[in-house]
Amino acid sequence: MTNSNDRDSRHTGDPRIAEIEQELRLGNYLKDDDRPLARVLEEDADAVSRLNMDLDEITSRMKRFYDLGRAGLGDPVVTDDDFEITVREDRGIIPSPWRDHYAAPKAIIEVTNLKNGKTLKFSMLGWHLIRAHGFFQGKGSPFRIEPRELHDFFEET
Amino acid sequence: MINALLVPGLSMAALAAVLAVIILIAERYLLDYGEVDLTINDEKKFRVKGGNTVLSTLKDQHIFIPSACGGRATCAYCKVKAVSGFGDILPTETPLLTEEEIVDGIRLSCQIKIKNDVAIEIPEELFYIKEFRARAAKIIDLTYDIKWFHLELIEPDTIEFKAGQYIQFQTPEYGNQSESVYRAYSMCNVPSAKNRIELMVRLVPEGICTTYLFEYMKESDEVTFTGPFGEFYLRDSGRPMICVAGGTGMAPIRSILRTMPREEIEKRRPVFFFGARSRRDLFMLDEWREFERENPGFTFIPALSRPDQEDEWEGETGRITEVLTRHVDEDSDAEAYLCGSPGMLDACLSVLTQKGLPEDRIYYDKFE
Amino acid sequence: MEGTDVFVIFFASIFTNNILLSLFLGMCSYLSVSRELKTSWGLGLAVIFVMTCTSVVNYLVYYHLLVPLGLEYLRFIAFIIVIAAFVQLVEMVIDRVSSRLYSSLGIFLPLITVNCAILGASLFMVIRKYDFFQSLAFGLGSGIGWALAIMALAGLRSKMKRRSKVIPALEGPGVVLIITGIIALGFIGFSGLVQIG
Repeated sequence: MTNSNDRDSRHTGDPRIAEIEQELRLGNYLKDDDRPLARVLEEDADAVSRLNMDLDEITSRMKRFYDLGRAGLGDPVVTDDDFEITVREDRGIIPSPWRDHYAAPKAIIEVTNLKNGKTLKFSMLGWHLIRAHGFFQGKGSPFRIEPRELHDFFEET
Repeated sequence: MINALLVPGLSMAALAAVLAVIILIAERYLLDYGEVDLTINDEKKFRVKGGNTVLSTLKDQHIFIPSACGGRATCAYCKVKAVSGFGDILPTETPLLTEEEIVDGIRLSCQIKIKNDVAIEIPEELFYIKEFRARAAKIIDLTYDIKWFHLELIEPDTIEFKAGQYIQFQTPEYGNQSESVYRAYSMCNVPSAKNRIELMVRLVPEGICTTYLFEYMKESDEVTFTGPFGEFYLRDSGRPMICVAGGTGMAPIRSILRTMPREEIEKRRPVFFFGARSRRDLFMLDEWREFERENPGFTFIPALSRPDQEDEWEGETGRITEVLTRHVDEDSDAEAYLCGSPGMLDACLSVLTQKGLPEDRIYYDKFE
Repeated sequence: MEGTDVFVIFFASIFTNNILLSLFLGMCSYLSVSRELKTSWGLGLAVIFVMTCTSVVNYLVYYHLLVPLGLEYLRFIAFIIVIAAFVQLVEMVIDRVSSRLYSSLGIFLPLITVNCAILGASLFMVIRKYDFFQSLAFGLGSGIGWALAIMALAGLRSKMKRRSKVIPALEGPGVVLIITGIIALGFIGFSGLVQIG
């Protein structure tokens, strides 16, 4: 309930969207993407449903990588199911630009699937934006993840 | 013909003008709260202009409440205790306050406005927080991704801080970064050098502030910061000390240890565990060896978690937690000072408590 | 429209000709500010106030400024200017009176400016050729009708949040539109009561 409800802001004509968009542009989360935020959200949501992705499940697996990887204190950690995780964490927090009162840890997670060599890199703020708002960031943003990439990474594992 | 344009133009302009006058009059009477009294901690009284938030009003009085999000109700740093004169909790505040805080009258100072005589309580040390202008005097490379910044104060030209505290650096607008943000960094120098501060900063990939510091800021550029903040400083308990740091977490520990008088170091026998990945992530080794020679009683233990072959490392290896486990005695009567990434803090905290160190003798700054 | 009684217009604009439920005007804020009864009540009051005042002022502007000068074609611009000014006023009043309401309405307050129901009410007044008191009654009635509709919905939504299971695909605006349709059907039941326009 909470999860899908949180994410419903991407479907409503939420009037705050204009404000949020401005905030995202200021913070470089939409870097060179000239499309309006609503389009960005819509096109990624389309991709998500075309690929039949379960975002709740995927984001909870991403969170698990973070939780397991932190134990390495910056060094790679290899999990039982053959993922190599490196978490780079810095002191402090980053306030979410979505005006949702969320403060993300300053962490960047790099995961390699040792079985097939596929890699995934995400920030905890990026994770939050996908989980709570279905926002994968604009094209050209440093932490943009293509839904396709995310889908491929979690496929058949 | 002229009439056909003039009449509509003039009449629309007249309509707009009349409405503008009405709005101006209303603004005058509705939004002017006049001068009101702001009482802080029952002792300091300010006569201020009403209608603004507590955060910005205090800023005008040169009292700086920590704030990282710029009044957008996201960071929750700017909590103050509202004693009297404020209305109900606002919907923008509720997600950031715990039930206890609500009962205690804690509010977000960036959200509540001063509309009549009010009274608030803030921690005493906030009175000492100031906004400083400074000049980047020297920038030194410590490793491939850590730099050491010397900032010389311009206005005010001296700062009072306790060794271990931090400042909030204001990143100006630069490049295509059009938003000014604040980031916290600990001082690594001793407070007795009153006219400057020194910071150690590690480059964060895509980090707004560190990118500015590493790529845009040049020596002799002018910058702004506020401070000092933080509860991380030396406790005067006389107990033996365990200091643990990783990366730039060295900064406050360096400040603390270098501030201690020689006799006190001899008495409290501090041990400084410093964790890094490989040789190229280590820095200031010579300085610490020197410090060890000058101060009997002090021990410096650098540890590498993944030394490279060519490092020819003969010191401690393993994660900082493993090194701690090996070196710290069970039920030691020491107190611990930790500084590093949140993950490192959590891990060290659990090692030390397992060793029987009570949590109230472990000090750290999470920057939260 | 000279014949129509002021009271008939008043009640009709609340029930049978409800501006939201029969004409579906002002949907934007109706959909997004109807989560909580308290905020809906606040926004409802603001809309009532703005709609009543702007109908009256727009009546005066239209018949005493635009018509004598033959500028009826400028009514859209003139009405919008008046509405914008009034919203500013209301915003100031709310800021002064209730911080809580001000903070919960947030962005929606300035949005009343572009709430089509408000402009709609002023335009209907012109199209239906209401006189001064009829305009007043129509503005007040439409405002009350709008507030009534949004509060009915907010009440339902806050109950639903606790009790109902909604199909995920319909959560949020989807189910709200369906509910609105059903409420609108209910309001058709009033149509025997009074009728205008």
